[in-house]
Amino acid sequence: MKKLRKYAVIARVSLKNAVAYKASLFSRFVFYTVFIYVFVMLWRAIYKEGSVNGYSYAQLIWYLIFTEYIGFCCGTGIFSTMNEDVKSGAIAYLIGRPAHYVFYQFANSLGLLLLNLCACGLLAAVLGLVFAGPLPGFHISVLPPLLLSVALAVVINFFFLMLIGLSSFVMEDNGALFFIYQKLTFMLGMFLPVEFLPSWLQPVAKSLPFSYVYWAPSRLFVDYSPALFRALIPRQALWAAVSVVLVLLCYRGSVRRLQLNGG
Amino acid sequence: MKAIETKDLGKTYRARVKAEGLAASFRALVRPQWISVDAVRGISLNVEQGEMLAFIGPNGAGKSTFIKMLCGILYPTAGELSVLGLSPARERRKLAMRIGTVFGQKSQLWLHLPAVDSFTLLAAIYEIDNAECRRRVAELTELFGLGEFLHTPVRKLSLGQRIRCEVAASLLHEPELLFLDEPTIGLDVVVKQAIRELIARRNREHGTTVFLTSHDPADIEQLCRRAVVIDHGGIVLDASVERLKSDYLGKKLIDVRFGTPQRIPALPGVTVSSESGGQKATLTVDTAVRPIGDVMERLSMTGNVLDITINNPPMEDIIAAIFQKEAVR
Amino acid sequence: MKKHLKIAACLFRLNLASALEYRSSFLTQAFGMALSNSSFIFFWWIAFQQLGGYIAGYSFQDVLFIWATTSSAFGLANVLFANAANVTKLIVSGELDAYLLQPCNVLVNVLCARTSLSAYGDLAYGFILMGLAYHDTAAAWLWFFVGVLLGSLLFSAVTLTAHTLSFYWGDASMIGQLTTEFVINFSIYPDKIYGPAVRALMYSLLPIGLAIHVPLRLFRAFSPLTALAALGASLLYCVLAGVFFSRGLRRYESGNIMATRL
Repeated sequence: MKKLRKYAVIARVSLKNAVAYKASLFSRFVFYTVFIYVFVMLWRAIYKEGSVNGYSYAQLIWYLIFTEYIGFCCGTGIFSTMNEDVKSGAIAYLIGRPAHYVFYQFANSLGLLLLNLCACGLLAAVLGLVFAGPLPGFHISVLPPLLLSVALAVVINFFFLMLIGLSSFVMEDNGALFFIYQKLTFMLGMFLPVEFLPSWLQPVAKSLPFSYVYWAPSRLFVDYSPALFRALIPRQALWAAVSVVLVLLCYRGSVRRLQLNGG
Repeated sequence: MKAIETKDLGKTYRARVKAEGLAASFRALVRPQWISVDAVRGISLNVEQGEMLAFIGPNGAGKSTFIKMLCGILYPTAGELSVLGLSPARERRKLAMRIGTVFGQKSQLWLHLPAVDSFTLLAAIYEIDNAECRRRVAELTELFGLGEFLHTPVRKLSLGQRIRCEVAASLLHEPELLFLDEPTIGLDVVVKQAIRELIARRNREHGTTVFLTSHDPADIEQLCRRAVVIDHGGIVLDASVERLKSDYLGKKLIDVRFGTPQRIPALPGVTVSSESGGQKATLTVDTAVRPIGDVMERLSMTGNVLDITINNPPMEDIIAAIFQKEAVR
Repeated sequence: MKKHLKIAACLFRLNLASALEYRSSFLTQAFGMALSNSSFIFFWWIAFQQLGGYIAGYSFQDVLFIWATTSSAFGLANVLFANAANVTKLIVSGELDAYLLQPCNVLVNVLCARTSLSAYGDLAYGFILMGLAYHDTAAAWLWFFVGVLLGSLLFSAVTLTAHTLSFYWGDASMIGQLTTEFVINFSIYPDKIYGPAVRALMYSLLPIGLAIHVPLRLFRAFSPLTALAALGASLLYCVLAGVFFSRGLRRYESGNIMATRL
């Protein structure tokens, strides 16, 4: 219990810190609005040519607003933080602290994440209402299961990025891995719903972790049904667990290497 | 023609004031509020060609604003100035051909490349043709002893090696006037001495005018014959370094450590403060009254000295002393 | 003029040499950019697979053309003039001093002082895309080259203009970033998806449309008048951007401006 409290305090401090950077939050707002505007314009043009795979125009706009929303919230820079910690050797000091490095980082990012979730959430809702009108079939009771899905998505994304960050122990330059991960999540969910992919690619996407960051929660949001919830949440939970376990294993291995070979 | 000539030179900044808070930010956007800050107020200064001048003042005194006006970076808001017969801000490029600058930690070298590559770029910028450039680089390499690290990326050099390259780079176009802003900061004693000798030699052999700011009294003592002290944007003192030395730089600090506690007898011209029950002491010696050798002799006669160092008082103390005395006049 | 070309060439050489000091990082960044661009092409491929034909008047081939031109133009701009995006920082922190101390044109010296590693990937990507989509169409290549040259100038000029505002308003870095984001988004989608106000913007104040969409139209149907007008307007814009910068430079306070965030 005491242990958990420690991380709660870390998260609270980081939240305060994030609130203090009002200017950066403001610029995030502006950029988010610009991105949404461009996407709305694009899809408006696309929908003029015909309808697309089972998504109504309003559903699709809300879908994109939601994926971009998750994307903006997740932008905590954990990958570069870890990279720097490893390359500068600061990690050697951080692992000596009485908080587990991995959970310390997660708690430390949680503040910004929560702030983004609340602040950008409001903006996203406003933009959605302006550009697409109310989402058909949406009910407030959907929020709790949706939040669960978003939380799992955030965990999957955070820990996979951390895993890539840890790779800098063994790779001189792991930027390529980061790029590949990022673009895969973009292509398999952020820019497009998985349902839009060619039929041969859909099962592949669904059996990989990447779509469970953006596609799963957004799909759940625009077309909620208990059946869909039961289908998606276990997969998300599975990938979340896999990512956490992988990070902990790799972290332990890296620390052992560090202790053996020095920084 | 004088190297530098200014008359009632002044610079007033308009600074935007902004209250805290988002609402205030928006108000400031619509109707900004300005305040005036006088950084330099009416400085009149003449510097002869070939002179080595020390320009001293506490941080925020207006030193860098004044220098930036001399270099043509800033437009003055009042008064007249001429540097090497040119109007700096209006004839910036012409002037830049003839002056050299070493500004403290701001490097003109490319960090990831060997210094020789930066020299090539500077040659293009200062319109030095290839043959001439090779000749000058060879000369500076010889003079500054750059040979062993001329082809090593600058980031791998020690600070001393880097400053040597830095000064060499500022001399590549053979400037008539050299601005040095804290050229020896952060260097160890031996390297400091080497840099000073190089500057002095340049002045001797090429007649280069040197305009130096430094917080190290030794730089000023060893290089310059004249010192100008400024504060609050105006000149407080313009005097020979000789006078500065006798009036303000004449004091030396002796730190001494004894094996057993000692009582140091009172001497005219020496003030003593003891610590650790007499095992450590700091002596402030006025060398005009009592030669330093005399004091050293007496100390060594106690026969118990473990360690002894002689220092200059810090620049801040000297400036404070000048202000005290000049304010009374 | 000749002197400044020499300086620019020398800066380019030193930048490249600096970049090659970190070869693996250089390759990763270039590769990363190419990959990032591919994800957009993937998007368009899916979109045209679903709908076929035209989206906002552009075929898949057209989209490939604007993508190739944008990518290479943006890449070339940042291979040569990456420092344009850095101008606010130079102004606010007083780093412009170093350029003012040298006896050459400040704008040339500033713009050429830095390169971007990832930009090499962008530059190459446009050529790869053209090779795949238009390998046997000489006219397309001609307009591609025109677009890349004009586009790189306009990208830099627009970025420079936005950051030059820092001379007048204090820290304009956000306006600068936003402008860059705007012009990229104007370039990589069919221009007709935007409303008339935004489209007016992309042919006037932020005239990147002249270098991307106009060459595409000229390739589809040549019109000498349009070509000349676009060329003239682009060059005029660049000259004005330079003049605006020089005017602003007179207000430079060497880091003594109290920075206000905008």
